[in-house]
Amino acid sequence: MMLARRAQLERLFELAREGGRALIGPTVRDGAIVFAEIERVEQLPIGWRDVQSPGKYRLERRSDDAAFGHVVGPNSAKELFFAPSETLYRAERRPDGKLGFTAHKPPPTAKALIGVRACDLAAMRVQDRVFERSQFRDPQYGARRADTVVIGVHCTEPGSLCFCSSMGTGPRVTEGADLALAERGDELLVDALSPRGEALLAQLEATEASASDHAWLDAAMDASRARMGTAVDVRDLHERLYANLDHPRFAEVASRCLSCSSCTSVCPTCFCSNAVERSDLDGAASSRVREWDSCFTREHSTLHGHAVREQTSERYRQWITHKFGAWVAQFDSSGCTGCGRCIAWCPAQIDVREELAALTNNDRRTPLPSARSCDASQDETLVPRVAEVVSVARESGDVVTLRLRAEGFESFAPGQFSQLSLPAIGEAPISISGRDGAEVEHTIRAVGALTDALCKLEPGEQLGVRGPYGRGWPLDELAGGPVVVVAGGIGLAPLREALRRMIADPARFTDLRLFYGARTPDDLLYAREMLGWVDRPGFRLYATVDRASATWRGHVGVVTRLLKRETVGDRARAIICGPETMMRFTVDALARAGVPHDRVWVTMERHMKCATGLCGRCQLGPYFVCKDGPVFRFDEVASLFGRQGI
Amino acid sequence: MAVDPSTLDAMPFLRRLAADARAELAAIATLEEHSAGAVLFREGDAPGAVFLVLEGRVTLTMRVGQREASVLSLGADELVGWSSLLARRRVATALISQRSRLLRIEASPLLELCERDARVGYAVMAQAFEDVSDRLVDTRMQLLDLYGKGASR
Repeated sequence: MMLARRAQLERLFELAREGGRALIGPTVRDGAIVFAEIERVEQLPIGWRDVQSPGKYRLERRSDDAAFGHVVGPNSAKELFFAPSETLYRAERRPDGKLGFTAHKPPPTAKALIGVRACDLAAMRVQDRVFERSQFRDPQYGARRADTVVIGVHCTEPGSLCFCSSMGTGPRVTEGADLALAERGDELLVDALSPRGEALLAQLEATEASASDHAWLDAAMDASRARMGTAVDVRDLHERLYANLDHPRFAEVASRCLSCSSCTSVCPTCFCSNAVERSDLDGAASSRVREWDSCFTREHSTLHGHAVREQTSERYRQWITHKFGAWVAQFDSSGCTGCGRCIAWCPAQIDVREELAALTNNDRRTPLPSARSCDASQDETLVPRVAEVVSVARESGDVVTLRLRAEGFESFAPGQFSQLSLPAIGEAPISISGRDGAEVEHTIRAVGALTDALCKLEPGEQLGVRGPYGRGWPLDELAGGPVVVVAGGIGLAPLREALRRMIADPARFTDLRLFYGARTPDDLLYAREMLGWVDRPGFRLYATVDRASATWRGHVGVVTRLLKRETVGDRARAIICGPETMMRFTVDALARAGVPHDRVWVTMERHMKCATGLCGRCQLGPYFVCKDGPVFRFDEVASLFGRQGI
Repeated sequence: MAVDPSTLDAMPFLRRLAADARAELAAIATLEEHSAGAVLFREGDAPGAVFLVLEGRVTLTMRVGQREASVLSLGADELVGWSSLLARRRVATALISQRSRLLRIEASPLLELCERDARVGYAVMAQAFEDVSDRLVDTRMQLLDLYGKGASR
């Protein structure tokens, strides 16, 4: 550690801005201390402190001229790397009707950050895990984040809402920065934490710090920890939260929470986003734009017109169980750094520290899956490839199967899905219902603007496609024993290619039964193809409808009734796809027949935008449906399955 | 056709009965076979027999205006005509939709036997209760219109 005069900040500013880097640091603006581009030392919040309490943030004059004598303001480094609004790609429809998609690259803007607290450095590491070290890497984030010089500041004066010491992220800067500063009157204690930091430090006028300087900093950090307000008990916090999903406190806090999403806006780690189409007036071109979003909005969880989390209590539960619970399983760290922003900026004065204590006021624990390792990340630009419609098969009044010529499906596994898109209209996840060489099939039901438009496509027309995504059916685990396939409605689509492959391999699949329920006989999908299956060795088909037509001579009633009549046997393995209610009753019927939960697989559905785990929308407890599913072994999701608002 | 008591073994819920109780039940049961298209009873008929399906399929239909709507099909091990156990008129028409083998038991002697032998009474009523309960749940699921527009998937 070195000791320098505080006047060396001038030199440090020059060094940080070398090569045209934008220097971002704390400055006073609009009555708050915010992170913004600054050029001169005088722009630091010299002589200011921010006084914070639940629902309150005020600036006050200090009695000294400390430059870093404040805590944290409403924004953080998050917006520098994970842009609040980011164009992902531009789509064009040429005069000949053909489509083109062009990735948008953020302009190269080298940055230097100064005055970053340990809690916010921890937040940057958390976001790095989300965007750079998950299964999919976000190149936009990577481009903005790369080559950033970071100068941290040890926090010697924590605010009353700070709890970084509970979360293990501060107050001392120990990693994630090139330099770490401590301000002591007109002196700076400076530590280099990286080779680049050493190079910077070498260019400052500084002397080796003494033992007493080291002791001063140690004492200052101890005093800082001691000054922090309410502590949070983080031991097994993720497991304690998941054991209390039905805690009455959720209803109580919801009576105060405004669902305004202020907490998620100021949070330095929240990463949920939406993606919308921005169309030119002539409709010939459009942009796909990613925008910050919040799990407190209704739209965040909306599926087929209904919000999965309709109640504020369900949204608060999602937020707090994700931030302090599911995050651990997803990213091997808590999503909270203890910065206290969500408390200061909550207009209802909700203090997350109090809520955590109240929600876990018992000894209950529910184990969560251990953190998933990610050996290899792949860049995911979220830009579609162009696909062309080869043929259209009308399956029923509102369902069609599009056969597409599209590249990139060589590794497709039955059960996976694609993101299909049309410029200016939107993008949606659609199950892949079949593959034949370079052609893939998607069976689509017209339920909204995009699916309506997709169902109206004609041969020769083009659309956008991404994928395949997700985890498919475990065909190898199913082989060798009796297999029961249960489908409801359009839920047969993601099962069709699995059925084809099993039927084509009677040596491995000797006893295969399909139980299929539809609304009416006209709604039965792939009727002609299924008739061709019934003579195949080892295969039996049982179809039923909820509402029979006058000419229907088959079964009438729900699909679970068919299942009850058949001897399934406890050696069977089952794969199910249909509405959650139908799957719930099917799993129960299978359990009564002796088939345990770890031999049943279901496919789940939640609101997806990116399909890569980066938009945060399709969460199901510790899982992302898009990349951890959509196929789950039932015991993985049994404790969450069918629960309202999860 | 008279019934050999061993025929009753085919019904899981009757297998639990003691041999003498099964024999009592067999004594009042007859075995019937019907081709597709036969009608066991019609909606509005006076109460009569109850049937246990040994194999085949029976479809229940109800009158809706001028047409018959199929509301449920029943198969092996299932009970047809439970409303007769409550001495009520038939609530639906029972149509043989696939060649079927049935156990027919007239409601009156069955109810007498149930009164006389609590073991039989419990077994029959428990089975009827389970059947009606399952049908109630199934009907709710059909009413929910799980595969309709606006429903998931």
